[in-house]
Amino acid sequence: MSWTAGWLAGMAAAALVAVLELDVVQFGQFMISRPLVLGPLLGLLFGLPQTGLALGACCELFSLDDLPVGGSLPLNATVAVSAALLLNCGPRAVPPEVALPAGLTAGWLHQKIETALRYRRRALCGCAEESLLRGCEPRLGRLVGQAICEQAAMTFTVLLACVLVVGPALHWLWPHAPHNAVEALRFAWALAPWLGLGVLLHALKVTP
Amino acid sequence: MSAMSARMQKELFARSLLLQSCWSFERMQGLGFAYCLEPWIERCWSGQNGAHREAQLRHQEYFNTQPYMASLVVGMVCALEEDASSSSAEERPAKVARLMTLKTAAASALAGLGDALFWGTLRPFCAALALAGALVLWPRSPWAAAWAAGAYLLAYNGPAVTLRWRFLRLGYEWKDQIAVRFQEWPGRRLIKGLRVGGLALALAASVLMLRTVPERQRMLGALALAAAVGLQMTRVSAYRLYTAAGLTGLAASLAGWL
Repeated sequence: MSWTAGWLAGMAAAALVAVLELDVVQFGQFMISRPLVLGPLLGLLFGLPQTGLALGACCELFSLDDLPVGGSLPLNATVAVSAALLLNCGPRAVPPEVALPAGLTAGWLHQKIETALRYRRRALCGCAEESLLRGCEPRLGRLVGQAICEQAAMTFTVLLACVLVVGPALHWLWPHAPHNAVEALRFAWALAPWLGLGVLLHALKVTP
Repeated sequence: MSAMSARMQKELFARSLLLQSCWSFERMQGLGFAYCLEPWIERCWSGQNGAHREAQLRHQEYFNTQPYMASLVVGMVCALEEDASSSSAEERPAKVARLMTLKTAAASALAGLGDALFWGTLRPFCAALALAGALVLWPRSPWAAAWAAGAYLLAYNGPAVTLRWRFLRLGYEWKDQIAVRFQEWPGRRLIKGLRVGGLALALAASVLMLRTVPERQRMLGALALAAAVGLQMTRVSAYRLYTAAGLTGLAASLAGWL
């Protein structure tokens, strides 16, 4: 794949994920956005299904104990797995042992921005109420559309930053990384599936 | 005879998928709930301008429940709004107050059950199913990835989408009897059954993983698995476990053990 095609594929994948990420909260919750679904699908798209499955499985299992209950907003596992895959399969690819922690950091960053966005959405409620009190129709559909577009744009921006900035930076830094740090990341990557399986076994514990 | 037509049910169902689209910390799903109910409110209160506006306003207030269980609340609220709109002006305030109390109570009660069933049980069950299948296929077929995605989606959405659709109608038919009718629902048995099945699949996936890795990694893998289960019991998050693994690796590398 040429460089230009690689960048374009990365950006197209970021746009696709920005739409699919809406499934996490905004629309449907059909689980298309779960890492164990999205990881393999993106992996198949990039021609690396096994990497997609491995990264997807790790992010899925890590995020199993994050329950989206009440006001809690956990690290965004969808963004984490997508960012990790874009970093691992993109034009300036880095190995999965670096891509996974970088992806998790992107998911954490997304969570922080989404928190701010959720505070901002309070204005939408005020807007709808004001319209009704003035005797006008609140046009709820338009407000819903606005909220959805803002969310998708935010996800796209985070992923685009991964493709355009984080990927090339890590690609350049990786050969210069200290030997001990490289070994530590490889060790953590080798243990990641086992830790994930531990989380899965704990999540399925049967209480009498 | 039910007054909710199939067309209206479809519209409410489609809108219920957007319940969380305007999620905010102040009202949570409030605005999404109002959007979901908009066509029904229009149908019940058309021609009564003041009452129509009040109905729209009251459903924009704070609301929060598990998104799949929300279908039951939507159905129930539809029936109660219909009652209120067809009642006399004297009866109406009491009916509306009762509607709002029932809405809040049902949302809280159903959230607990929905969280335990869908987030706490069905999601890990589907992960275990997808993972176990993918590990069986892994060495032989490049389609392990496709299996994982397909099996997860089918196993999850089969029951989840069916229940969401059915709940809308049931909520409408059961009205304020949701709590009574739900006592007959085998929710706890279903959760236990899924957990036992999921646990068996997760154990099978662990054994398959142990067989797949080279012999020298087996002991380390088994140790990490046991440590993860133990530390999860003390509520250490998975991300912290992963960070701890990296720090252990760094210490081992500095000590010259890697």
